[in-house]
Amino acid sequence: MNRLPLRIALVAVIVPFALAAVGVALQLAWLPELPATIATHWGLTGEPDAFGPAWTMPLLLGVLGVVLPAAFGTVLARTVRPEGPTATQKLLAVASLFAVTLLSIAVTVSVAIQRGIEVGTSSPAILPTLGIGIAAALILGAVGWFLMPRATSGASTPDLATPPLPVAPGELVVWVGHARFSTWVVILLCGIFAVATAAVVFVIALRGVWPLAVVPLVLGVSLLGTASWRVRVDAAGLTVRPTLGWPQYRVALGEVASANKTSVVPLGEFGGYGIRWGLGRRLGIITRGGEALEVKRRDGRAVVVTVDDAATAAGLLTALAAR
Amino acid sequence: MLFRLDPASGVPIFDQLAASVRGELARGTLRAGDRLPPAREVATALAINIHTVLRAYQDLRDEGLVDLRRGRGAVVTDNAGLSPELLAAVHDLVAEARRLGVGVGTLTAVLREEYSA
Repeated sequence: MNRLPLRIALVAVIVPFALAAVGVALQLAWLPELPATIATHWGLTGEPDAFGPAWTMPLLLGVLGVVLPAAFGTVLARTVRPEGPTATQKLLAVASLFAVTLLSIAVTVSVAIQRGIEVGTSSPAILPTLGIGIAAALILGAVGWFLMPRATSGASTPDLATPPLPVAPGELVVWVGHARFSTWVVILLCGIFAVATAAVVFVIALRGVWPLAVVPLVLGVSLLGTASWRVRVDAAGLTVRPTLGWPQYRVALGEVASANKTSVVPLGEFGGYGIRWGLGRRLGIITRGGEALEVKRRDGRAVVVTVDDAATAAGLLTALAAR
Repeated sequence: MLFRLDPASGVPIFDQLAASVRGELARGTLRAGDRLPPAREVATALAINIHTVLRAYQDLRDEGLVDLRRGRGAVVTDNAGLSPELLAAVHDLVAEARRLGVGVGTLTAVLREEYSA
């Protein structure tokens, strides 16, 4: 595990933790002014629908204020590489800050408005609080994003240039490869899908929010649709196409600046699997770790696809681009 | 999977396609259970007729190197890959032929002879 750079630790762990701590301290100080039973949950209409002892709220914020930043911090410390965070990793850090800020404000204000009232049932509506919380969390999240270092270019150590494949003039050549999720990536993604689906089913069963059923549907289709990619190098250049046929990525021969075999660390360089943005304007089609084809465009952007026999593909692309 | 065609070589296109697949099997980049690219895709990429590609795939099936199944395409069979022992024997054979100054033409002719015997 690496040591998390200070600015990322600030955004993902330290500030969220401090905010939650302030919230908990305020709520504990207010305990004498609160009724014994307070509103702890508000329905979709903004009216209170669940009640509990006054200490429930500081406990809730205390636990989540520690667990959430710790979880995000651990994931980031394990994956952020010395060169700097990827866009996905910055998003994770901001997600931690956003979630805990919103939670701290919402919970603390919902306790604050119940001071001095007789019983929790007469608690005022919560919706304005939520609005303030979301606005504050968005602003803090944006500040956090720009506080963190930029995703630096010059990603991994440059590999030795892959030699061009000898191609005779007039010879017709095509290379076709396959990028497919490895078994354990499939297990991981199925796990995520199962958890997400279970959560959605739970919420639907509890509250009847049927539109939520769209979530597992979209998630399932996008997982299946990007599980298998066909990669082609021919006179048209590089074409990367998923089973669904969309989204398709192309690099025309004229745009190819260089093509090389490289090696990919999915979590460290791209923050995960699937269609990914990585360090240094690299678009990744990442289905596993290890061998990959990296094609740099003349404008500095690059496409990285995890395929076997990448040296042949890179050599052919180099040879065709030079022809 | 790399397909190479030299239209000027005089060798029929479908033979050259089949030879590309055999080459990949020998290199080990194609293994049992792997799927050959769809004939349509190869045909489009090389600007040749799809039936030429299908003809090559059928030849490979007749040799027992691939299975052709509707909907699944051409799948490399279990017995398509060359065993390491056979590859080692070929390596030794070629080394011995080189040592004795026997050219590839002569050696291939001897191999053909041996097969038809």
